[in-house]
Amino acid sequence: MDAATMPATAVLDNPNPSVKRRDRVERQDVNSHTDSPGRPLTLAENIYETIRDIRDPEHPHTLEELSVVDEESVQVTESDAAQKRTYGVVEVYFTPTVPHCSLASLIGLCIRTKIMQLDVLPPNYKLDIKVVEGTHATDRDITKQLNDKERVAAALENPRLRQMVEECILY
Amino acid sequence: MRRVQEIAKAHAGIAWCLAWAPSGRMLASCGQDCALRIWAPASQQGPNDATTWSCVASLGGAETSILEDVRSRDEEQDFGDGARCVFARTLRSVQWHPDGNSLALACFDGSVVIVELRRNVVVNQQGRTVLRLHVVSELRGHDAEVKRVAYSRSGTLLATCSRDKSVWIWESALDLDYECVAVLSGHTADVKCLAWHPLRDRLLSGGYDGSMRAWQEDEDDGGDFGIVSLVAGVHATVWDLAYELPFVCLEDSGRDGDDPEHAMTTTSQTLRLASVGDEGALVIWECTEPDPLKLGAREPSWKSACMRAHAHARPIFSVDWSPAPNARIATGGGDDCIRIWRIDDGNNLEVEHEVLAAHRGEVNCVAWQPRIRDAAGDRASWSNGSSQEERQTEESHLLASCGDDGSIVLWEVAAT
Amino acid sequence: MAMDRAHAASARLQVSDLNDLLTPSPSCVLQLVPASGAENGTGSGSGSAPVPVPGSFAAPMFPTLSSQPSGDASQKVARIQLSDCLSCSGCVTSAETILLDRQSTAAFLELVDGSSKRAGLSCVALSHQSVASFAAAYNVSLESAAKKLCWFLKHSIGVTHVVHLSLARAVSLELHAQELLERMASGNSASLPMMSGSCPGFTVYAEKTLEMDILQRIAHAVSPQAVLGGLIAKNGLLAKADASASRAPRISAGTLMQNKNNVEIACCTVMPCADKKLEAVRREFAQTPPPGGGGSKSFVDLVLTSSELDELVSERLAESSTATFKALPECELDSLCGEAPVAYFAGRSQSPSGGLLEYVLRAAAERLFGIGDLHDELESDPRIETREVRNHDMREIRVRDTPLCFAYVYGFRNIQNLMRRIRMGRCAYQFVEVMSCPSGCVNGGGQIIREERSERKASVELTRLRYEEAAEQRQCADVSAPVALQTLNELHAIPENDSKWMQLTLRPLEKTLGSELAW
Repeated sequence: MDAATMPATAVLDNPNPSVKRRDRVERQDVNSHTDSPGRPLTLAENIYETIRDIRDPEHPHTLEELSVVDEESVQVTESDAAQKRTYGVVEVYFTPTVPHCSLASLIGLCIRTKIMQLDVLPPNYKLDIKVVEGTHATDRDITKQLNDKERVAAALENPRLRQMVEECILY
Repeated sequence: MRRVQEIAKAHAGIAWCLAWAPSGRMLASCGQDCALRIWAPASQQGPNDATTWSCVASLGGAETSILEDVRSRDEEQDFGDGARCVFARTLRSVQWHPDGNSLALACFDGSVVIVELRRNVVVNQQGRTVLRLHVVSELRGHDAEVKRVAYSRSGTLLATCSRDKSVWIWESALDLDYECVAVLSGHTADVKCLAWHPLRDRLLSGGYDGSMRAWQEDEDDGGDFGIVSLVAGVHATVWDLAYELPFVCLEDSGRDGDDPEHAMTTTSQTLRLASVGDEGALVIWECTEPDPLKLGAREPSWKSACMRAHAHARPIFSVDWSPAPNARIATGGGDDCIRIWRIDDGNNLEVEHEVLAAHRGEVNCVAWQPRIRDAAGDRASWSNGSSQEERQTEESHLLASCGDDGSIVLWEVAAT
Repeated sequence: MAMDRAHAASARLQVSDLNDLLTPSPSCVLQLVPASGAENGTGSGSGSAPVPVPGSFAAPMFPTLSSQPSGDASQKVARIQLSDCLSCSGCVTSAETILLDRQSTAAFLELVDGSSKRAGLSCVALSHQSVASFAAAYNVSLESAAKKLCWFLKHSIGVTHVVHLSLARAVSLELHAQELLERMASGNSASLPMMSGSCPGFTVYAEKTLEMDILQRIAHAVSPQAVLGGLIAKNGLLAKADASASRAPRISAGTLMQNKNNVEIACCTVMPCADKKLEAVRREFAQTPPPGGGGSKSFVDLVLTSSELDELVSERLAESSTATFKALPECELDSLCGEAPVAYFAGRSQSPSGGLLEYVLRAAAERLFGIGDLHDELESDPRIETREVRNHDMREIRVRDTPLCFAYVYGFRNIQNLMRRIRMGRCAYQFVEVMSCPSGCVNGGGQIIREERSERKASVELTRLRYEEAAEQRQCADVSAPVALQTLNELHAIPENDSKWMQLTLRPLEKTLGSELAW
């Protein structure tokens, strides 16, 4: 990193994020119009409902408002006996607000933690959190770190990190 | 491959690591619940006359139902002093000292803890030895979570590695005190795994940076440890490493004063090594020793003998060689699956057995039971005349595994 | 880069760099909206972003984590200085970049140039180990290497004064001896063993990792570099010189005086160790900032390593396309305080790191037990017993028939073992000379080294031999010791220089958010 560029990036990664205004009521209305009432949410929908209102660590906005995640972010692959795959895979893709966002790994940690905490992931599913490729200067590095179970387990034992994650989740 | 016994909820949360005592008669486990537990077989005169493994000692963590069960069955069981709140963070890795009398633990709080196993303190009516676990030493120095501990074969050296990118080597003294002999830096990220050469004081480390590094004492350099070889770019993250145990090593193992140099001359100069990675690959390496007659040749050469790029569909977290002459390789990984591999004459890796949903969650550790040795020469002897011993033959071996579901499973693996 | 080659001390810094990503740590990133806004959940997004000051980090912190009141806190622009960054392991890598940038050879040339343009003075102090490194690299004598460097710095770079660190070192040694005797007299066992704090690799590590119980055993006595900086900046030894009169003003010898005229003096040192740059930016070694704000000026403005100076020499020599280092003319070094110029490398030193242990041992033996006639070759004295504890870098020196037992502890692994012993209460030494590089400072990470491993060993050995030439000029030691004592007395006599003239004060660094959030 070039030292000369540091102060600029250190102030705020993205001082003026574009904010998409949506609220929960509106969305639920949409759901009820398109689907028969009482239809249980699919796994993907359920996961999305869980993560859309996570607060960005940097802004008083939700991940959905900042377009970090949207309905297409969650992809589910079911288990497949023919492929000898006894488990399903849920992939959550997110887009950091700016390509050099230094808190991208924290956002990913929040997504993973909230999904695990709320028990929305059925027992025989794996969870992969991924930065959409090309949307961050170090997208692969962050994706790799977020899917290292050992590092995630250790991170969540770190009280300070845990506290930050909880605050973003409980927004 | 047969499921012999499943110990459900052996740990609350993730069970990270298993380690067989050198005698093969005890198994240690540790996990996310900050507990160390020791398991041993209790021969039951039941209808099947089966050997069941149960918890015989525990340190740290919260009391679990398992312990309550054991306690009610055997009231005089002693679980050691300060069984609660000993460790505040996950115990990631456990290893027995080769003498079977103590264990080293890698803790996510950055410390390495040495626990001594004390026996024969009280003998109860059933004539069973009571085990106590005592923390005798705490090795501080790492800046971040310690991921792995590994004793050299002689037990004089203990290696530890951490997210702080360093590998430390400690020398053990008689009084279970340890002194730091080297701090090895070179890895550019989290160091995940360690393996000592079975015959030499050479250490192999691997980790998040995808590299495997061999470290050895440099006699020309005042006996300091330095890097002797490096292989990178094969795995995304190297999760585990295991050397094949040379047969000669097994034959004289446990005997005092055995000479590794002598062993080296009587066995081939080439040893096999298995590495597994984040991308699901299993690679078998042939490591050839430098010709001692050739001046200046210090570095062992590495050759990839065979590999399976997609040995598992998800990361492979653990690999282990069985101790038999016809060594087999066990792997366990993020796809909940355990596979047993054999290397055929054409140097191909063949699946010999597989269990798809071996655990209800990811498999973190697979470990072959070491050959059970003659009880007379075995200081670590726990119980005599276990039926386990009789069933142990050249044809079948016991494999232990543990996973995210917190359970420990014992498998009987038949040779085909 | 020099830091890459640096030894254990800097390896320490690399070790503590825990993030994979070379971005500023989260704690240095500003929160846009104060905590109160977040609580209301209004999310107006109208929080005012503080104006960044060029060249400074905007200071920030997540309001959720520090319970500071919001409001004007977010409006305030706080400066984070380099020293703050270095004490945070969150983004050491970035801080190292800045550090190298601010104390680079280019910055050095600028400093000297700027100083002379403003009719100021510039002073470069050469360390013993650096001169030895040049002597070994270019196969010249120690004295000749010093004189050639002096000529080069004055005539090729335009430095006004070139001095050696002898006097500062003598003062530093005496400070250590006095402190040890005080500690021993106090009878407080928690203050012993006293450990030397002149190795910045060790002190940086200590503050980041060690507990107060151990930190309080590290000497308050300061290093030769700090003494030199303090002498020049605070007491204005060069101030008597008439800056406007000539290009190279003469310095009057003898007495200290205050730098009343506030003549600008740019002070640089040449050191065997890149971590000395860290020491130079410590708060204790800076002028108290004038009331009403403004940055505090470090006593030592800039530290060059031996290898950095060597690069500069090679560059200039290449431009002239004629000379080699060996062919450089020589000129006499300046005197700092009236000490004989011949005493370049005074100090009876067997130790590659400045003779600290030996000086303190002699002082303790003489002042406590009346043993004042120890052999010049300390280890050949029958009353001295030496024992290698684990390896050559951990040695005990005992004075027979006295309780005095000191130790050399060099290298990171031996430091670990020393800490273990102290924690377990199994350390009976009174004084320990602690250096983070194996083989001590002659093997410093900033020395001129050869890339080839085998050559490197030979080069360290040659440097050590050159360095030990100093010991042959033993008579010179007695020239500087009295001057050091006199200097110390004079320092104490100046009313403004209270007893806390300059002290190394270590305290455990609170873990910063940056380091705590790294995973």
